[in-house]
Amino acid sequence: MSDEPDGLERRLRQLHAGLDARPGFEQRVMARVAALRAAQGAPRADLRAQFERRRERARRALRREAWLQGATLAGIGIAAAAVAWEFAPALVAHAAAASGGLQPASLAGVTLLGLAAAVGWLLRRNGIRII
Amino acid sequence: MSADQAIVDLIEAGRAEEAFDRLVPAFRRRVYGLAYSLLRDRGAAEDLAQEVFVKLWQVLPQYDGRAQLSTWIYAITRNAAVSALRKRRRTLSMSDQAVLEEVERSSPAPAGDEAGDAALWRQVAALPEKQRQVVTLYYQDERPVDEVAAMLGIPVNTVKTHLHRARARLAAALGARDEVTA
Repeated sequence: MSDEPDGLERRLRQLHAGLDARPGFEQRVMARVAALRAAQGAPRADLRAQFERRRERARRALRREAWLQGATLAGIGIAAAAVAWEFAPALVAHAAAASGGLQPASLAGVTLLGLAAAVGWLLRRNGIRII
Repeated sequence: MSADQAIVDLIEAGRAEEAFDRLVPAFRRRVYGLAYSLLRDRGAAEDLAQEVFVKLWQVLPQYDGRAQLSTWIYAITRNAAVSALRKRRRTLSMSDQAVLEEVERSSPAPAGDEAGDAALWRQVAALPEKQRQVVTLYYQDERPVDEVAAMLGIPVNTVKTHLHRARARLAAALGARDEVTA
């Protein structure tokens, strides 16, 4: 009697299903780890906790710095926009004289858009999201 | 969420000890199976699996998520197996084939349907190295071929080819044996 393909598959599965470590394997691993931990674990845990504390402090400092930079940039942007708004007629007149045929309203719009894009880019660069 | 992903989440949360507690049962059969497929010896595979898990306990906080957790663990296991094989060769100073044959003799077949299983086990053991490794890992837990490929660090199509050839060889060998004994 020879093996049908399905029979061979089944026998191979049965044959390999029992391929496993001896019972108690996990307990033996844990016992070895516990022995290692006892020998070197305490300082290791201290070092890790110290490392985590340092990393957390650095993360907070970076986040604070990013917000400060973002707020500064936003302030500069807002101030620039306010100046542009305040002196819009003069700026428009000056720009119109300089640019010739452009409509003053279009020129003001393009200027404001450019300014907003620059402020947006600087905010993104510093990892700050307004929306 | 898969069990592997839950372990990765724990590592990323800085809870490596808790992750390790879950990792051992989740990877025991996979690590042991891979170790056995590479070393061809149950005792050595168990020793190697223990070494791998102890190593994992030490390096788990360094896992950075660049590779899949399982891929990372398989690579550690393969490297440990290669070191073990080198050490074994130095210790025994025998040719590779002689070492493997010796190891195979000391490696009894799993309990099952006695004579038939023993014959099949011998045929599996006589397969070319890569075919035998693929068969062992594929049938141990009916794993998908892509996972067997990840375990052995070889392409999926190579696994399929080895599996196909191994099945054909086993079917032919067992057919011939049955004809002789009939």
